[in-house]
Amino acid sequence: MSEHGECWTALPIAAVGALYLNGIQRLVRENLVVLFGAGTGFAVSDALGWYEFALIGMLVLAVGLLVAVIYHRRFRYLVADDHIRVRQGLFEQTQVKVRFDRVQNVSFSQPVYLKPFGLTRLGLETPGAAQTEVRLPGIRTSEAERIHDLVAACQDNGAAAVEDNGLREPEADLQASAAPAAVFSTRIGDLFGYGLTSNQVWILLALFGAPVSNWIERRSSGWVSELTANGLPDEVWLEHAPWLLGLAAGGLIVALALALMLLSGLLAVIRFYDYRLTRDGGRLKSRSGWFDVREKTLNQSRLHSMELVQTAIGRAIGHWYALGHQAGAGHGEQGLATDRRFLIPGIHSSQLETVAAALVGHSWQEPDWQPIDRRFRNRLWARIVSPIFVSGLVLWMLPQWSAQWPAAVLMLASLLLGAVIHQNYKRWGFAFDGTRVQIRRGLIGQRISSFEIARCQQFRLTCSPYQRRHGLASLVLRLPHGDATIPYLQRELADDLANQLLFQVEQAQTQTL
Amino acid sequence: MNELPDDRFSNAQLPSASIPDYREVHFEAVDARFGRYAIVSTLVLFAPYLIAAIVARWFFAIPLFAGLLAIAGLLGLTLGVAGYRWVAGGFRGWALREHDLIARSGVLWRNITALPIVRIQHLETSHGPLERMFGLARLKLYTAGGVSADLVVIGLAREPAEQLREHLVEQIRVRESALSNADAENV
Repeated sequence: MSEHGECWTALPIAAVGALYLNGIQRLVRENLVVLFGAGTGFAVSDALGWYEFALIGMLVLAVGLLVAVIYHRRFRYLVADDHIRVRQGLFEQTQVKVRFDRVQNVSFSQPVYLKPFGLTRLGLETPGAAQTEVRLPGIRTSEAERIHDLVAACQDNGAAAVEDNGLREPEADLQASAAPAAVFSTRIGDLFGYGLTSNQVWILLALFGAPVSNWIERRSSGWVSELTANGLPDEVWLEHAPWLLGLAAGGLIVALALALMLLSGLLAVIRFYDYRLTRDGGRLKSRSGWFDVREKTLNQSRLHSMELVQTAIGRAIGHWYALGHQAGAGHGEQGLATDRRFLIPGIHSSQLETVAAALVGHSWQEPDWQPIDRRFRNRLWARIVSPIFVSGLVLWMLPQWSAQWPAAVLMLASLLLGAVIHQNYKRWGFAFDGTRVQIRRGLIGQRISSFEIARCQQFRLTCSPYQRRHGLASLVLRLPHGDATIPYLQRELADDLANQLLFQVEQAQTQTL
Repeated sequence: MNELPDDRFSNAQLPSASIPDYREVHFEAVDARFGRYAIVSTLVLFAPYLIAAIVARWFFAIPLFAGLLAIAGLLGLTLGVAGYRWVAGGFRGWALREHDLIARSGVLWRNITALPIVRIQHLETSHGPLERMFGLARLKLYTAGGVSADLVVIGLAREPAEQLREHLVEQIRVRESALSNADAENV
């Protein structure tokens, strides 16, 4: 054990403020909907005024400060050459020990309020853990750098490396660290584009859409009365022009969607400002952020899958983003703050191959996709589209049916659905080059999953009676972060892929031994 | 821009004829008592609904025909599910190879799942009261990253289930010990 690891260390006193702000930030983020509802309740309630609101708010803030102080007093960590221990807990103390050679991701973060104190947040993630296993909420930047170096040295697997890293001068500020040549970097326009294309827009729409539409609904009759009182439009005239109200409502919705897209774009710029992806031996390092500078390190050997995503809007403006999945990153974890996936935002189509190559560790280009069997589409047409179309046709042909437009709508909808199913079928594609499986799916946008078959955990072959009749099967490949499915493969091909999977996984292990 | 380490990548063609075919395995059937267990467990599962339907008919003065129809429908559903599970037992099977465990299930929608032993993180056998009554057990296998069991082999007799578990545990132990030795040699 080194001289550093002999005693437990407390967090610097300035970290109390960081803990306090972190706690408030987390409280707000995790209970955004509840807080929004409570705020609306206060606004409409006659029983509670601003005085009570301020009092309750101050009480919550005071309790938060007390919790932060107690948490700080009970938080201790111990850094040895090859592991770190953390002791923490408000009421019940827990102790976690993490060996540095098990760490698959080191994340740094320096929010704007930590910068004046020279503090940094550090997170260590290990495979198999559902959340970040060790989180040091505010330590000296030099100490964070030292821990980072120790992790790197342990992963480079040599005592000599530890000595070398011990000689390295700690850097005073994350901003000032020497930057190796970037494998990929983004411009503000690319980040804004990422904000437009990412799912943040829909999250914002879900949060603000309902309250805003309720507000518009409540106020619209008042607006009409005001306009009428001013002599602008006549109410009788308005009654005869319902399309005008529809147009106004549509305009408002479009304006709201545009405003949210703009907000989403700005948020992306703030979050990923000055994004740089660099390579350091077998590790990839990303660094970005305006107010909160974040740095993530990814050990490339632990990356088991890559995803390249192009949303529908992304396709229109030629933008992608990439995700690197590591073991233990959780199933379908979507929260922005707890996201452990290695995200590379704002990739222009021309840079896609460079970024993908950086992630997989060798040159990459989009393969020639093999289609899945056309019965995938035909089956959906027969099961979903045909019944709707036939229902519409029957309605149309009924002699006593006076209004034929519902029948026409049904038939048109079924045709549209048929086109959507066809488009989805065309998007499905897979490629296998003997080592790497690549799967593409989507509708207007697309999502490409790429992984080595030897990284799979297991396979499952499923056959419905229809698939059995036509010699087909769906192959589900399980990866540590979730399943990858190739539907409607020829049975022979599915079996071959399954055999390859078992062979390569088992052979890789035998070779290791 | 950094140079890409192209030399790390190899993509040699594998002779497909030399790759073992999982379809050649002979599946072991589940224990003969599984059929009876499937019927009894289904009856136990549906019993509260049947009792609730009978009690409701008794207390709420539901017309005789409607009440009997509902009870008969529920009973029919129970027997249908029990029968399906009994038949499905005949389609269940498992096979242990040197390096993996393969299981099949399903009557109409058929599934085959194969799990390489090297991917098993931990495993357990479990048996509920009904399974204990019939002398059955189930083997649950977990891999990395999964939140629930990745493969569950049900309908095993208690003794073979324990033997299978011990065999797999031994395989994992040997593998981990060999990996530790390899690591030590590398250092």
